[in-house]
Amino acid sequence: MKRIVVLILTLLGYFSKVDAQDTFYTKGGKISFYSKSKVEDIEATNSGVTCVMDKKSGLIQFSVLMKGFEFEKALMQEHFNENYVESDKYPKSTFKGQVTNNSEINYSVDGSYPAKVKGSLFIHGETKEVETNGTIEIKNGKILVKAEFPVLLSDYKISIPSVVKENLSNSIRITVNCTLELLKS
Amino acid sequence: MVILLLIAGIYIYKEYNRTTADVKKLEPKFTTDAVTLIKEFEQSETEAQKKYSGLNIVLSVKGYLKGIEMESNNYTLLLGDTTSMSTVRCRMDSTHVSETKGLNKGSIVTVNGYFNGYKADDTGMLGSDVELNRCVIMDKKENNL
Repeated sequence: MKRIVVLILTLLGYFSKVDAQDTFYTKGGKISFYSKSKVEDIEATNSGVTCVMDKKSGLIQFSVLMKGFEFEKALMQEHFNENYVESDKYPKSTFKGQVTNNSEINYSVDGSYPAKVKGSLFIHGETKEVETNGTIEIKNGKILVKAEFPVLLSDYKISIPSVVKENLSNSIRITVNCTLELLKS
Repeated sequence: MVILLLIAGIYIYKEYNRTTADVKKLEPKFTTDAVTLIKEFEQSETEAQKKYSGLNIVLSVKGYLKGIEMESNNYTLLLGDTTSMSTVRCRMDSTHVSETKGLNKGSIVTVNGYFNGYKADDTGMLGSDVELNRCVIMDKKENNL
């Protein structure tokens, strides 16, 4: 817990001091999740993801409002907000971390670079350390951040009602797709 | 008995396949303006969150159109005061995107949409946001001031 608090404070402190010319951001990034179930696959997308990245240090943070996930079926969306993630109690999820191989990415040359990201993922009032591989693509002055990783619902104390427990997977697949632009000061 | 089972079956089928209601057909629970809405959250996030809590809360927000963002077929209208970085971000319903045609920065628009929540700016660089999704435009007029 102490490590998480220190990390968050460091990130907050850092982002208040960083130089705007190294800061890239979007407020219209995409995060989707997908879960395979025996009855039906569950899928939802949020297109209002905020992502801020400092290319110099590789510090990166995401925030997403849970009620912004759009499902095809209204009933699924209502169950997701009310019974699973409890959106009124925990309205926002965040990730605060760092690209650990940032020195291997040449931000001044267009191309696709493998990226290793490590940080704290906060969902449903619970924080867990996560580490995943993704890609950082540099294209026409923009940074495209892409990643795909699994999340265990039990890690974030999201309980599945016993009636549907047999049919729903505890593991969901998260896909991140954000196009970041230079923050103009 | 068979008829009862049939009615129950139809109800379950319809409910299971129900899609999110078109905001245009719903009465907003709250009617406000962009500056007031942002101020409510900036003054007390907890209180404002409590006020707008619940499922499928529709807000009607009137405001100055600061900008329009387009990203891979997603249209977001930015409402609020140009002197502040904070914004009410309204993500348009994909079936109502055509309503943004001819819309200019500086117009006064009234947008209805589902309340998503508030993102306080903890970086000090981006401004805080109140977010709405599946938005529709209810009224628009050019600002001649």
